[in-house]
Amino acid sequence: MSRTSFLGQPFFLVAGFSIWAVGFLALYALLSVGCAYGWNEIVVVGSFSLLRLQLVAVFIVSLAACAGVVAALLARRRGGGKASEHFLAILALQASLAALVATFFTFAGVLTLSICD
Amino acid sequence: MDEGNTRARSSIRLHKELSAIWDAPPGWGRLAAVNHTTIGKRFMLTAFVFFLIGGLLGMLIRAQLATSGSAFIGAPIYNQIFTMHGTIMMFLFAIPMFEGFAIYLLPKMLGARDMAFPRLTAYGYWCYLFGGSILIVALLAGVAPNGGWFLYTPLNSQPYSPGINADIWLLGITFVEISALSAAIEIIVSILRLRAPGMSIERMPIMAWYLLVTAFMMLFGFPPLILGSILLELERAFDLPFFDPTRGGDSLLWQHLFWLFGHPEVYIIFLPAAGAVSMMIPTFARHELVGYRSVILAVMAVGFLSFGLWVHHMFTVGIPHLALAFFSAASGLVAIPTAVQLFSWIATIAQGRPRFDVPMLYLGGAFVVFILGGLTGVMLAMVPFNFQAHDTHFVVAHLHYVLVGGFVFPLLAATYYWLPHITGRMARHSVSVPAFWLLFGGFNLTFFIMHLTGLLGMPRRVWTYPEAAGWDIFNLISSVGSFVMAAGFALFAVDIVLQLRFGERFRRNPWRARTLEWATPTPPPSYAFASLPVISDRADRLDPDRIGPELAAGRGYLGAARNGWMETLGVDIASGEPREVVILPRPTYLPLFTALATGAFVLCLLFKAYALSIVPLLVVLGLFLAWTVSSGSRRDLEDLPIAPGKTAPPHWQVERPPSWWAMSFTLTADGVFFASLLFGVLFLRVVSPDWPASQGPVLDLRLALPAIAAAGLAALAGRHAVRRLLSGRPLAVALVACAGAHLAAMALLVAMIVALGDPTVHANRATIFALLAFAALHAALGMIFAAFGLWRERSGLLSPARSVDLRIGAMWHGASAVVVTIALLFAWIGSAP
Ligand code: HEM
Ligand SMILES: [Cu+2]
Repeated sequence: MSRTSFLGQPFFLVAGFSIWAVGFLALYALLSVGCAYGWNEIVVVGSFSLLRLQLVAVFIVSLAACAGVVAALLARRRGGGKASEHFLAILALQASLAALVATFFTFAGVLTLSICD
Repeated sequence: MDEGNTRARSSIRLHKELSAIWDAPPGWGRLAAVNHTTIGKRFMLTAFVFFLIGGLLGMLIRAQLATSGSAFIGAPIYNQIFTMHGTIMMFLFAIPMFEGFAIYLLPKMLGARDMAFPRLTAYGYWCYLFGGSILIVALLAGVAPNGGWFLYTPLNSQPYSPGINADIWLLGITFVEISALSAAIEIIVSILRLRAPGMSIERMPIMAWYLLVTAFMMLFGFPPLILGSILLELERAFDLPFFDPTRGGDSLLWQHLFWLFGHPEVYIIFLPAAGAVSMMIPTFARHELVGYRSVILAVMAVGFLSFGLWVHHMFTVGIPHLALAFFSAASGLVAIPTAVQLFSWIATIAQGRPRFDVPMLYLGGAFVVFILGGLTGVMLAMVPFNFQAHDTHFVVAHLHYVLVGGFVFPLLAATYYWLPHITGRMARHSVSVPAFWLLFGGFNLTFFIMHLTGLLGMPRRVWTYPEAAGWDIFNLISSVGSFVMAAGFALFAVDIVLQLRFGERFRRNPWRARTLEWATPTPPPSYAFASLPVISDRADRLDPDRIGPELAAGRGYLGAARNGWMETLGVDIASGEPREVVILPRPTYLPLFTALATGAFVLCLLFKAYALSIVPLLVVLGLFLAWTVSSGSRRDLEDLPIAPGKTAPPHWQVERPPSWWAMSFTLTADGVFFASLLFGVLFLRVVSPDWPASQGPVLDLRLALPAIAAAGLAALAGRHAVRRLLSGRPLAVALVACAGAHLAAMALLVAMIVALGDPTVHANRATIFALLAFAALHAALGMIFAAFGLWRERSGLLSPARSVDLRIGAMWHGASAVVVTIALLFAWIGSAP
């Protein structure tokens, strides 16, 4: 019996969106904690507050992680294997692309919007 | 001719043999039924009865609101009625209806003989019936919940709702929720593991994908609600101040926990109905579903995105604007995958040679209504508009367009489509078309108008309004519309009765569908398939007319009765290759008794007989253990023949049988529950305005660290026992050590709870209390698992080949160690000065 490779695991179907979900929670939690402790008033550089920098960092990390999953699955797409593995690979790739777009669209507000009011 | 005769004779003999094994006994024996066809029908019938009750309440609401200053029912009753209307429709109608639908059809669509855990199905049904009955009895007794179906605090906290009403909601719904959570686990395991040989994952019928995503959503959505209900009940019963702002609690915590469940709930209702649409459209379009894979992708995306928008129900509660932006964006985004499905349906119709029939008429109605509801949904997702329309009848209009377009109309279509499968009779459709137009017209008359009253500022959940407001004429039209709709439902019911009584009999597959459920005989026998098909193409490209007779003659897998066993096949998740013979439990009264004992426990809590409640609780535990007595084997078995030249082991001799997966998903739900609790602890600490920085209790590390060590030891001993079993060495000592370590951990945790002092003084202590209690519960259950393993070993039910019971226990011991560690960590942070 051949074992499926790591990237062929059904788990990868949800990898991208799981990153989105974790990023979402992290942003929401960070925002609440930051506003409660006044991190939005601590100016770091220019008009950037500490909280803004942290939020943008989470945003970028989520985007990068999603993009990483997309890249790994893209690299694996070629090559034979069983029909079900191929099917799962394509589906996982599409799902992680969708998650990448969702990550950008839902989180982009951290770049410009006012934070704690 | 000759060959045909022998075939017919052999299929009749096979039918007799299988019926003898699978049929539930007649008379009172019906209460022992565990079969999915039977239980599925019961679920659907019961849900329909609740729908009628809920609908009746809706009519009462509309009668009351028809004119200004009406003295018809008055405020106290009105509050109970609209609360019960929403509660019944969401918890007692929509979810159970889809569960029944899944339980009845899923095995037949997948080519299996039953669901993975038939006794659990039956237990779930009884829990649903008893929990629902508690609510209805309360309604009749005039003590029904009256704080809205989302039971907002502090209105529903003890000081403002001193009666029993809110307790009934909390306990009754939690009872029903147990049933939903067990159904979710069962649906997931059945889809992943119990399919026809050759039905690899890319060949599953589209419905299976929909149900899989839905069940996962339930796994993640229900625990927060159950947690919220337990916390609120603790507050109401024992005054632990989780939601009381004067003692460090926060009402918004309730709202978060509720809507964390509440929004996904809407999609949990919608997705199965959309799945049914995706099954029906290809049949009537005479074309396979266009974009099978895109639809799967869309359903997965909906599953995730719908969790990222719970706060759109809380836009007006004062959350930072940036957070509102996340939730608003996610709310808008979820429209895209929903649209993908709509376009796939339209494309399927466009590419096919559509044939008109009654289900299509109802689907047309569903499209129109659902699209309108979706559009107002996008409007409401926009924060500025939401601020205007919040809690007006505009929202009531929106939610009914979505729910009725997304669930009720598809359900009516599905009834016309699948009822022939249940009854073996074709409808006459004599009154179905006029019924449709009454329903469709009446619905729009009722609810379209509510957009207008909403925009004119009429708030929801008010029992009356002044004439000066000028809403009379609209409300009157709306109420008249609702009576037109009721006439439509009455006609629909007449149509169904006509079909039951006078429908024409048919042999198989009246709609010329191409999916497997139509390959069973109709009405289906208790064992569904006399033998299991080999699937070599996508499950919506099959030919039931050819496959059906073959299977009936026993030409597929497992085509013979053996040992009086109820058998079905377990397959590899991805490739669909046969892995094991799953031997299912026989009909038994245990699920009924266990549900009765569970009900007794709930009633004890309801009537505040807390000391007494220990008795039914122990009975429940004992009965659950009794479930396991009949499972397993005292010797290793040879692989069993499953088809000419093919064999497979019985399920207790493989590495990952269905029960192993069930434990994994149970632990997932447990983890979500725990994560929600941690969220609550953090939330109160960060957000609640009245949180003392210093004078909280200090957790005694001299107790906490040994507790962590003991829990870790239990986990190690549990794993060690498994290793010893696998290598054939005695393991009793390891298991005793495991139980002892759990006992030590539990004792230490209880000591910490005692040392905590009065948990009612402040939410700080109450949350630490909850964390410690949750950890102690895990240690206690760990003890039971260890003792259970010991008993299985003593009874000779374990061997190196039959190790799954012990490995399942080891999973629990590991999870318990993690829970104890994290809980203590959070308790320590929470108590640190
Ligand atoms: C049979 C026809 C129906 C009628 C005439 C009807 C009527 C109403 C009315 C007038 C309200 C507003 C109550 C108020 O704000 O005071 C309401 C609320 C509600 N309805 Fe319906 N409804 C119907 C069907 C449904 C269905 C099929 C569902 C769900 C599957 C549903 C779910 C709800 C919910 C969740 C609420 C909110 C209750 C609350 O605010 O606590 N309704 N309904
Ligand atoms: Cu929502």
